[in-house]
Amino acid sequence: MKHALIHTLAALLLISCGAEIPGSSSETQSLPSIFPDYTNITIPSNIAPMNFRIQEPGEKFLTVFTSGSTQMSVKGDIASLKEKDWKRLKNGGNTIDVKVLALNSGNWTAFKTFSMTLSDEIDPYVSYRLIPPSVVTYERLTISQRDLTSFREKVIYANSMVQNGDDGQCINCHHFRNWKTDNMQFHARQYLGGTMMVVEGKLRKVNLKTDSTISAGVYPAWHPTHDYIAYSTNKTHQSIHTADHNRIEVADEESDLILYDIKANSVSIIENDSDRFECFPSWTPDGRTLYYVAADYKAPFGPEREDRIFLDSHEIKYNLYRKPFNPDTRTWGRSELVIDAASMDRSITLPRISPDGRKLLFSMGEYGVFHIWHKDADLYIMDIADGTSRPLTEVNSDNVESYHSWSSNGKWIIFSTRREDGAYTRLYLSHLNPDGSFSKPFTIPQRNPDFNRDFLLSFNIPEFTTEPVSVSPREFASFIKREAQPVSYQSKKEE
Amino acid sequence: MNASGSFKKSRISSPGRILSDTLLPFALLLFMIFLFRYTLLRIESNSLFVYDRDYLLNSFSTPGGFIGWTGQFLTQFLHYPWIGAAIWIALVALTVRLVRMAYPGLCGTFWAVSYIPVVIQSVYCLGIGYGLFLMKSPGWFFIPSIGTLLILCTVVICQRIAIFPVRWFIIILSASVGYVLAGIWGPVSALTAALSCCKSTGRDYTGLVIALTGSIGLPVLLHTLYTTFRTDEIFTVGLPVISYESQLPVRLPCLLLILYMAVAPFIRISDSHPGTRKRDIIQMAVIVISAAIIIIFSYHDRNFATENAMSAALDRYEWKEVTDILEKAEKSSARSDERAYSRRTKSIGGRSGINDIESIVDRYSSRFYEPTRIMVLYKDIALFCLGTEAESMFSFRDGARKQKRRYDIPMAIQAGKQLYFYWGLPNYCHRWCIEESVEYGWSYSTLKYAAMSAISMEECDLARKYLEILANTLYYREWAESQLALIQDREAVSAAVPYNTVIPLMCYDDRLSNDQAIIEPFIMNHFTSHRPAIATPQFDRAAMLWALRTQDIQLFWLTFLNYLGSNNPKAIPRHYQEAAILYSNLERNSGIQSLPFDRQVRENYDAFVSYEKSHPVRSISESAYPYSKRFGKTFWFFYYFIRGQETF
Repeated sequence: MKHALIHTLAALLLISCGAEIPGSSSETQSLPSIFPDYTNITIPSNIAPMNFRIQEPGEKFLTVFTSGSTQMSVKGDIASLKEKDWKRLKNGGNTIDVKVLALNSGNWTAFKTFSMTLSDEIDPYVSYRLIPPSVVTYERLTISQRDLTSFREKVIYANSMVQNGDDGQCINCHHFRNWKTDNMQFHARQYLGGTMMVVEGKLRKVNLKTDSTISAGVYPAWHPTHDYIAYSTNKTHQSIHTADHNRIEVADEESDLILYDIKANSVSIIENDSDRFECFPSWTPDGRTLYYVAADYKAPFGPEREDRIFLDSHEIKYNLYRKPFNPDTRTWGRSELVIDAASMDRSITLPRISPDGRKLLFSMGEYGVFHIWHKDADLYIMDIADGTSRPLTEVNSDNVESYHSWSSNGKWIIFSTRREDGAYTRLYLSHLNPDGSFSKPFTIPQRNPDFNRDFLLSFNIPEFTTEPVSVSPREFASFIKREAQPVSYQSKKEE
Repeated sequence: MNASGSFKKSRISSPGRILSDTLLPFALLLFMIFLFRYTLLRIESNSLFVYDRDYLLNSFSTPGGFIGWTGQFLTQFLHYPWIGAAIWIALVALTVRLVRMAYPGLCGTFWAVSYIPVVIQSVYCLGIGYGLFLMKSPGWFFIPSIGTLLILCTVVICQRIAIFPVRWFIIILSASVGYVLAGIWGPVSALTAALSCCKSTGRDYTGLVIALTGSIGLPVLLHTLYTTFRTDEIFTVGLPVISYESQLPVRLPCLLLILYMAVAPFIRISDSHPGTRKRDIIQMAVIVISAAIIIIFSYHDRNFATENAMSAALDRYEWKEVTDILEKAEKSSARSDERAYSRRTKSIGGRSGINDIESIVDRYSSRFYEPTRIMVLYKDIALFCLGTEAESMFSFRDGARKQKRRYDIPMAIQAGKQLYFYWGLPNYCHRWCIEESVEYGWSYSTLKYAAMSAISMEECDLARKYLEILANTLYYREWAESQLALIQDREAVSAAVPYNTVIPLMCYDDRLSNDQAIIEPFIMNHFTSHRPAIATPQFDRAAMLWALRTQDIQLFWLTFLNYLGSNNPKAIPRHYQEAAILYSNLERNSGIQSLPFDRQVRENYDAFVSYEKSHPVRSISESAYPYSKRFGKTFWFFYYFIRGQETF
């Protein structure tokens, strides 16, 4: 009786979708070729519909989604479900089975069923910068926010709202404190330059450059418990490869670490060894240790240094360090080498610590600090307790894997990769399984499954948040026209 | 005039008007096709229209995006300039028709004034010249035409609606939906319609107030929904944008069009006074003046046209056509050169003061034909692809005539992608495709070169990305599909045009570099200073071409030896012989006497030396022309007379 009811309901659902499953079909053991590749993946239970295109030869196509007792089918080479249908499907069970059928010369072929396993929820919002893979031009940059539970995307801030002709503005390094948006920041460079901050919901624009620091703040790390932000300060240059597939090389001529005290509106030095490039700070969740990367490099300062840096670029290898910090007294301990990547002829960037403080995700390549242009850059994970690390082979590709972030529950990572075409970064998600492995990565779903192929901008710096940004783009645009507030310089405190 | 304000049909349908309405579009079409064919082609290749839903939806991200989308749709037909030009002329003909319908008081008797919008639009489209490289608005070529039609349609519709609330609704619709779709053209159409109705069909002051409030208030209100433009652009968004210090060159025509339609309802030209004959003469005068304005303000420059023609031929891999175009341009200048020389000689006359002579030479220099750097570089590419550069690269005039333009446009934007691609630097080609797309939007041309550079670098997925976009276009689909069929097979790629020329040049070792947006010296340095340990014969051929351009003797010998080693030629090409003979004589080096030089080359060189003795060079610029008549197709002429050329 129960089965009969289920079948009746399924038939009704099918009728409502207007698709009819063919009576007979030949089975094939191969998975269908679909784009994006969503075959046998683990997905967040609150994710938007996983639309895809079928890339098999055929005159007609049918995709049947089954979840528990709920069954839906979609006709055509694009398998796209309405959000309400997708939600109903997700409510049907923990696994969505997908069967693709193709009609060729009057015969239906059923491909091997693949599954999408529903798992932990993901932070509903991810913010990123949309940027062309250009070298000198940056006319249309936006920092946008995508609702991962739907296809809605909204602009947080776009440089087209203020820049004018030669008065161009580069925007970068958006960053949030503890996955919330009431404390966030991004930088504007050149025209109307400064660091835009939202502190406890209030806007502030500061100029983090002082006479005692080499630049304004660059890569940020907001302290999880106290009102500090650690920044790297960088003098960065870029050069172009004539033949290499990595295309562009970005290198620092100098870099240090500073700490910005939000309340005191002052900066102090964390690390500024002139023979060492320090970069990419990242706090542990308790805020008592700062991880960062640093490379030893000795070369005379002067006009030749920039050229020298690029000639030596393959020899510049960044190691992973950590430095104890007492947030109450704002005092630092001695730096400690965590991973000696240089001894392995490798270079580490972007350490990011999981919310439980037990794992550290980083990117490692052959050399340098700007792995977004290094095809050999892969993601690695380190167990902080025992110091062991391993490459995320289940996640990595033979192309760039670089900027990565943890979700607030520590169950998901998002990372940018150039695996699809080698030039445009796309965002991929992967689930941290209970055994410590990561699930097969997949790109964030789009309403149009061809989106990643057609879109001619890169996704850059994905950062999860649990809530939307409340400050409107116009508010940012209006505030950014104000003069940046200068900061004072304080000397460093050491234990 | 009848009671409703419209003019009698007999007047409207005067034979003169019918004749001019019939002939003028054809005249304009011929004018565009014969003089602006390649400019129109360039405009098309710098635009993009993709048959894709997202492409359409993306146009709504900014007010006026839809008008740009429509403009892009129409611009694609310039691929065949006569189709695109005919469409444009059909639009302006419709404009004339609507102007007469909307403003009978102005055009009823003096119908020729209805041609004024045509004149303004013609000047906008045909006077752009090099500015086309800096146009940032998609579909800019058609924007004023579509905007004008929108205004006129709104005026005509509102005039024909007697029920005021319905008219007000249309006015509000124009100001709001019009703003979303067409930018400022929407509110302007609402305002113009209200003004027109106020004047012609009764004192509808309410409509005017609604239009005024809507035209100002709605854009202010609606702009908060967008993040794609600045607040101070609320009332200019939708107008064409150029990357220049002033927007006047592209916006003045639009403002004049708007002004024309705003004041037209208030101008009433009476038909009672001037007699028919006098009226016809005045109309004829208006037409003649209009034609004169179009001719005067259109951008005519032979080098610009030649550059565009050469670029189009290069993009079609028609190497021979590239050189033919340049040859034709040179030949067509022979007479004017002779005239300039004769007048200059007369002018110099018996003057002996060097300063006097130099100033005369300077004054006349612009009258002599000289190619631009881009023409020279396009020609070198074509000859290299034909494999005849060593025999004929100096058979063409060389030079660096400054482009006639008011705008500062680096060569990188005009020709960067082409130069880098054909000289085997696809990474730089791709880089400039991206930079160009960031500044001016993606185009057929940038997508095509980005795809070709990816194919050369064996980046199949990236190439597929660009090609699949081009496969969704009307006129580039076939090319894109042919490339998609090619990319998986490296052997087929290596054998196919143009990769069979480009890939052998990519034998060099990678290095980090930066061209600082100055292309020519960068490519020159690449070939002359960064030879790989194992260079292909093609690389050494290219290195020879650039080494000859440097006029550096030591570099020539070094490159020449490499060339001999890798190419092992049966006969030494003419220009190399010329350079070798000249350089060995300059260095008093008799060591090369054993090389198999042609007798003809030796005799020519002897003739050159004896001519030099009988016609001593007083100044390079003064003697260049007479020397060019005898030795203009030799390396010796290039070496002595083409010095210190400016690139950009």
